Amino acid sequence: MAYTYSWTALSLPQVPQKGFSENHGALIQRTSMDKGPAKMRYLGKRPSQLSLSFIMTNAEVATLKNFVENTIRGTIRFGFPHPRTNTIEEVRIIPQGDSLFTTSYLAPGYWTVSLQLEVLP
Amino acid sequence: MSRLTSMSPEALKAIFSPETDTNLITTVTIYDPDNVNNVVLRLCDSFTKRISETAEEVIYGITWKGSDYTFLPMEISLPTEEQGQAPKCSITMFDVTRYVVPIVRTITGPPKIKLDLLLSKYVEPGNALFNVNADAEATFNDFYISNFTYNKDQVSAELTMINYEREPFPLHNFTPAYFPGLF
Repeated sequence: MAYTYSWTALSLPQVPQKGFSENHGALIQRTSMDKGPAKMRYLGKRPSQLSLSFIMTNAEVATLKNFVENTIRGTIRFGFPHPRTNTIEEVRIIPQGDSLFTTSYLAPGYWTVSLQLEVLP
Repeated sequence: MSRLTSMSPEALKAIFSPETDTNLITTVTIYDPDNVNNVVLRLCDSFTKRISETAEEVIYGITWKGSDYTFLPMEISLPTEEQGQAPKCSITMFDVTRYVVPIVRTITGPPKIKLDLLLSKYVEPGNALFNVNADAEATFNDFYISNFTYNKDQVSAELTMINYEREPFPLHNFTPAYFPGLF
């Protein structure tokens, strides 16, 4: 666990108040057959993916924007408190198209922030 | 001897079974052309663990027989078995992290290369069959890299065996057979 940056050190919500989903699995090759069941082959480990949705204030959005754009530059992994296990995992942001996270208006001064992370094996 | 008789039942299951929980990992070992006892690159096409990590990056790979093999996605065409020509094989490495290119640039001769196929279960920590000293299921050695081509994304290597039938013998020597006037 030799990461440099940590979500817990930031003044940001530590749990996704608005929603959280996670997908798990392994890298599987599934080959359809002309007849009968498909063949399946295990190829290796796959990062699990987290979809997170937070409620943030204007100041928190500015903190997140600075962290993503200037500190980790969208690529570097960081420690993040896993909402299900409460352990710190090494994660990276998965870009959604051209955006690393999205903000949408919720109420005056409050924003819904959505982002996707992958937990590195 | 056919590969089917020399490979283990586990490996055959990994190849032919409709449902298999293991796969064959291909390792590539490239030797120094000036000294075949030195290894310049150890690569593999799948990973089971982290072999090193720094603040900037995590390097995945496998540890097998005391050596770390760095994971790099690769396309490998295994040696052909055609009549009338020496076996040929090629490897394309997707070197997006620029790990291979600096090493390739230092190579000045045709390096020897070895390909091994081994079961992922043997090098997967925590697996019941974990045995880092397990033998390879198949080994292809005696190949030499005859050509490297690379661009910003990938490195391709052509592998050939030395065709002794086409080599002059003895090479580059003044022998009585070739130069009778000298003797």
